[in-house]
Amino acid sequence: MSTAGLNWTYETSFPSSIEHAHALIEESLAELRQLACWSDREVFAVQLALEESFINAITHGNKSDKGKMVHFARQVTPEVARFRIEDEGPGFEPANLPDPTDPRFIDIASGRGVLLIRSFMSNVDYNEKGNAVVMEKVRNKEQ
Amino acid sequence: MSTQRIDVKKVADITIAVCRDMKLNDDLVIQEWGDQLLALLDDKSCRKVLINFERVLFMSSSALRAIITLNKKAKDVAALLILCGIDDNIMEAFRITRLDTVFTIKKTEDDGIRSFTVAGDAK
Repeated sequence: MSTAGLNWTYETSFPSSIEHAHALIEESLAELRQLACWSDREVFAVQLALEESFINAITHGNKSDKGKMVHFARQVTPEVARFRIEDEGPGFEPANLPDPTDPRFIDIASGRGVLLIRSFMSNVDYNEKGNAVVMEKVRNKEQ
Repeated sequence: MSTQRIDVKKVADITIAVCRDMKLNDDLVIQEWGDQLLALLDDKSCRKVLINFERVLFMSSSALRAIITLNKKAKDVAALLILCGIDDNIMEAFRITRLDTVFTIKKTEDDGIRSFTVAGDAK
């Protein structure tokens, strides 16, 4: 997914705190609902992907260090909802994560966030460093 | 002092924990909720546990983690654990992560209660 030429309609940065993140999630969902064409199922998908991405950025990326910032951008239209979340951590390699659906790991408590993001969103890309994700949900026009 | 996150009732020898929160995505809420569910298993008379999610409309992977931890403790103490009332969207998250193969999940509380009567129904 190319991010060149994207016109983010909202951009902000905030210290690593889940309260800030939850406020931004609520704002983003309100914007989706205001457009009225997004289904509840799609709004749920965006909510879950944002929740998991912010948790990854704040707790895994920035290690909950309030001196480190989370950078957020969004673009919400009737056709697509697109988000960018970047932390100030060292990054990670998504391909190196164990598959939590593998029977060997199914009982392990953690490691499901990235799988949920990929499954609930239409397109998901991490940057080379692995500290930023761009993800988009394309609206299903047949609903 | 922690907030009450579950309502607990008994039907015969089945302990039913009804989740009170609509959203399970806050660390403190999940911690309290998970702790209260785990504490149920400290009672040796509580070996059939039904968790009712009918009020829950959103849960993060952190909440899934808490249920997995609960499942491990249930296995350790030989308790039967069944989940019910899971919203369709959340159920999709269970399917994607294949946790639907780890847990016994029933549509309604009544279905859950009935399934305890079938020997070995719970995973």
